[in-house]
Amino acid sequence: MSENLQLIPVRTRILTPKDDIVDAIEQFSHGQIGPQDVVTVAESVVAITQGRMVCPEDLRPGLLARIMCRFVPSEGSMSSIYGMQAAMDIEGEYRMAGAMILGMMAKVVGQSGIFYRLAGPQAALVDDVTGTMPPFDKHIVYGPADPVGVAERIKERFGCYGAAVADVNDLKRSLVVGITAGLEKEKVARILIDNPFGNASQMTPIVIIKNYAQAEARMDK
Amino acid sequence: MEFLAIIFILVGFVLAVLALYLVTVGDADFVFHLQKRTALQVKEQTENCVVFTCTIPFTNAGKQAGTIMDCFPRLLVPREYFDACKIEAVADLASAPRGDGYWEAVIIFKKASDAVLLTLTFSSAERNIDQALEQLPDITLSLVCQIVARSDWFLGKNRVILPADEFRVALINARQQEGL
Repeated sequence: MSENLQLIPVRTRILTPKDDIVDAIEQFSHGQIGPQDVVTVAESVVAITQGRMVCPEDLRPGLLARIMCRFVPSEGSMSSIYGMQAAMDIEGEYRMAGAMILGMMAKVVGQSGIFYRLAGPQAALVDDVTGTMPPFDKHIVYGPADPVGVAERIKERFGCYGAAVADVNDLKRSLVVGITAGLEKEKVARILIDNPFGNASQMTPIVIIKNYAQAEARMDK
Repeated sequence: MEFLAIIFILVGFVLAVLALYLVTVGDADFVFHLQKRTALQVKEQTENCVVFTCTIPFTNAGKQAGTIMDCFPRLLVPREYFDACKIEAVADLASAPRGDGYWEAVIIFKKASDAVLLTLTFSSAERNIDQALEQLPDITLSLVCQIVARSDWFLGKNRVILPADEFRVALINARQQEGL
């Protein structure tokens, strides 16, 4: 399917909590979105436009966060007491503590990923300090609120085939966190696997998947 | 009762193992190698302005990765000490300098090293910069870093003394290079 698609990254200025993501897509896409297209947007930028971020200095990590963060590898977003507390503030301390205990037990028997499955969706989406580009590199950025609703708003505004909010990086990790009805998360995630959003400094948080509907129809035949 | 005792012993054992783990897992430890600071060099000079640079290497000597969230030099040059010209200081990450005065938060993994690129700009609107620097004393600054790793964020300070003679040598070297 991917050979018939064209991925168009859309460059924007730095988007802030004063921006609305749907308005920003309209402003910067310059009419490139058509009825056959799927519009995807980076989840961290959606979260920033929703004001879903916090400075570590404003958090008060508790004892649970201080202990639990020590069990997260240093590359993880919850390896600092602030990243862990930020995730706990959204998903709940005891839920995350229970998830960690069960996750550790599951790892003993060779099952990984249980912690993130049980801790809640926001646990995997929290970006600790340095996870986002300046001027938000010193913030902890949460995952977006109601990503499905954001995707539906995008679809409604532009009359496109669909829309998705995605979390993609350069390490072949591609996760769709919100998508419009009728589209398959896994399919869209596979299309985005090579990170067409680029790195943060490229400022291309929007990617238009051109001709998605046509390509899908061809595949179904 | 025996059952309760067993439970208490088990819980105590788990807590002891946890405490031991937390003690041994360690934290980041940033060490600034002030004695290995590079000599001042003139980066650019005009009639009214001269820019010096040097680098101060550092290492994360700890057991965990740590983040330098912010880093900035705090000049300790009151007007009673020296007021012949304006001095501005900026810190940058030597391996990825931005040049815009903004310190981008950076993760430094355990045992990894990098350096702070210090840029000092001396400027005078009223007079020739060479004249302004004739009576330059030693320049002292605090290199302040906001660091976070596995514990609470904190500010670390390192006192950097830049001898007046070193500035003069840098200026002489720059003139000689120009002459070549």
